[in-house]
Amino acid sequence: MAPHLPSFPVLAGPPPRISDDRIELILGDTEFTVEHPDPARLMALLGALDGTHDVEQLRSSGGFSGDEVTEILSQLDASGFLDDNINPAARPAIDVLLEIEDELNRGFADQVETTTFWQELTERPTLVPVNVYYGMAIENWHFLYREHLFDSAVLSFPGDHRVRAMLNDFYIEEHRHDDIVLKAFMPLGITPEDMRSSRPLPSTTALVNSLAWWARTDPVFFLATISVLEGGPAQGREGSDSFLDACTEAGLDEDFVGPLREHARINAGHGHGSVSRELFDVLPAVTVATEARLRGQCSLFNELYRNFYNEIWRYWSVTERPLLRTVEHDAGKVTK
Amino acid sequence: MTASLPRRPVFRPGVALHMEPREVDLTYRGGGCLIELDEATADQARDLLSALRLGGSTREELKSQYRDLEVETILGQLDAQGLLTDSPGAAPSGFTGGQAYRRARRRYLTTMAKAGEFYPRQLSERLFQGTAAQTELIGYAIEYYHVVAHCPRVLAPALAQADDHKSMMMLREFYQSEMNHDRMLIRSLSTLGIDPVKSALLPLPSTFAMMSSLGVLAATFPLGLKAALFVLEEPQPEFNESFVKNCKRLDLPDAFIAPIAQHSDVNEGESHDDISADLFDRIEYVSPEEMQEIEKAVSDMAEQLAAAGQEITDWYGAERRLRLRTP
Repeated sequence: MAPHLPSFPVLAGPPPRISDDRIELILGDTEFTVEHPDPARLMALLGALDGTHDVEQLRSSGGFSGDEVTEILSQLDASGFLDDNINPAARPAIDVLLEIEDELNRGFADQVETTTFWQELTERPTLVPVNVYYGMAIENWHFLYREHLFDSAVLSFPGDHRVRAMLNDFYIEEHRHDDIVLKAFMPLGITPEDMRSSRPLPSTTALVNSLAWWARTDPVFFLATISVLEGGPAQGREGSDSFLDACTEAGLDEDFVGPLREHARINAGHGHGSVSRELFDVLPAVTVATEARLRGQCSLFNELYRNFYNEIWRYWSVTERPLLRTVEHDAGKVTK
Repeated sequence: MTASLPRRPVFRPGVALHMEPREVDLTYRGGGCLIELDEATADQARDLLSALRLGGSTREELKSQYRDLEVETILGQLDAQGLLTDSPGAAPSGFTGGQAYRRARRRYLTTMAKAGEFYPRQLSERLFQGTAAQTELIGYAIEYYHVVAHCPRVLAPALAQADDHKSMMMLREFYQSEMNHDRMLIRSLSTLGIDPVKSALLPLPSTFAMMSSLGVLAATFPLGLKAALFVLEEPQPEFNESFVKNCKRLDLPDAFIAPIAQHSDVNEGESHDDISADLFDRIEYVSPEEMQEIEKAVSDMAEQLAAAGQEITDWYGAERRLRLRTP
């Protein structure tokens, strides 16, 4: 049983032939013979299945009653003989992405750039507690350490081999970026082992797992967010960013800033700020329903991203707090 | 490296331009930028900005038209401020869901018509001829058990996929309707002293391939899953009737036959074969490459089904005793 009858039915195979009062229909290698008490009348109906008449026109065309026409069409459709002469409704994916980008830009300006974290870093970088800089690097590392959770989920992106190839390249380019940033913590006396045994802020987990969920269940939306996370199309090729500028202003030790700078430079060299555009340029189309879903999730993504920065400020601007959050048990408390 | 996107840049709707002799003020959503014009190129710059209001020209066309300007640099700066988008592109070619479903169905019919040549020893033929052995009938019930026992696991990933509300509900209902069908088959097999829960049994490779294919499609290619479902849900009344007749001919107990016959009736009664059609009816667009992949998935599933028809005969019908596939 096919879906609703085609809007503008058209015979899928070559035109039917009539021989010895029997109608021959051909589909692929198979030939079907239809016997009908009035083959000429049926041939007239089959001849009208040229994709220019809709079902209502066919029903009232005169040769058969409306119900008979529907029955004949249903039988033809169930046997695979009908096609529909209509065009799908969808927009070029890049057109949609550029509008989604606009939504994300607005959210970024309204929600992310207005956080205390970014306000303080851009306006008073020398007054920002040094732990906030370290905390940002730590949470950034936690994000990179878990990046495989979302990047790997789109490696098998279905339906378009070019998008899949680009995502595989992106994965390779991002692979082990956490190790680059890891070097920044050595001057702070934090070993790689310390980092791996520490845990991120809940707001970082929230961002990471939301992305991982989207990558698995709504990959097109995930693809739209990649460029925001990578600094956006405005990101220069030389790899400067507002955080690194603030680090420089604040006079932070180059041993700490250097690895972060190296990471930014590598990302910029790959042009990752434009990845979303490049992917959507290759993706053929986005439907109206998908577009609505993508738009609907932009503000949630922006909130998660805002919280990521907000919480870095809230946690590490209290300088008494230890740099690393761990899950280690206090062995001394275990008693018999 | 020169940016290639947007290909035919145009100002976003809402970008306001205020042109002065030596500067242009661009505002957008409370932000924007001020461009100072060089006296020698001021006219060209104003023309370029006017052209970007209209859109339609490619970056190359703009560059050749405004040779005195650093067009790429200007476009880069405007883009960095979020002021540019692309002129609307042509409607993408592809298929509606209905068109895609009909193609998939034709592919299924033509694949099935040929699959018999490749897998000639079909259980169905032996059922229709009334020559199936008892071990083959029991083997069929065991493989049927594997199919329904795997169903929740392989379908579950599809429930997580983002989709429109109605499609998600349709998949959810389908999932629920498939739940616990393994109990019917367990009941059936228990009448012969076979308990696949207590003593685990392995499925035939083709049975496992069908279920793993469904699972992979559910997790990675929801369109492919939606299309492949009808292959397994297609009503087979002739097959089912012959199965019952053969069971009776070989004196298999009614308690063995009844749950299997009942399950077949359940599937046909609930017209499960409509699930693909109903889901595709809600799909607005399928790209040409997705169409190709859907047709591959459907024909592959059809061939796995044909392979299973032969493997059941080859494995379970090879000896007089029942060869249980214990690990």
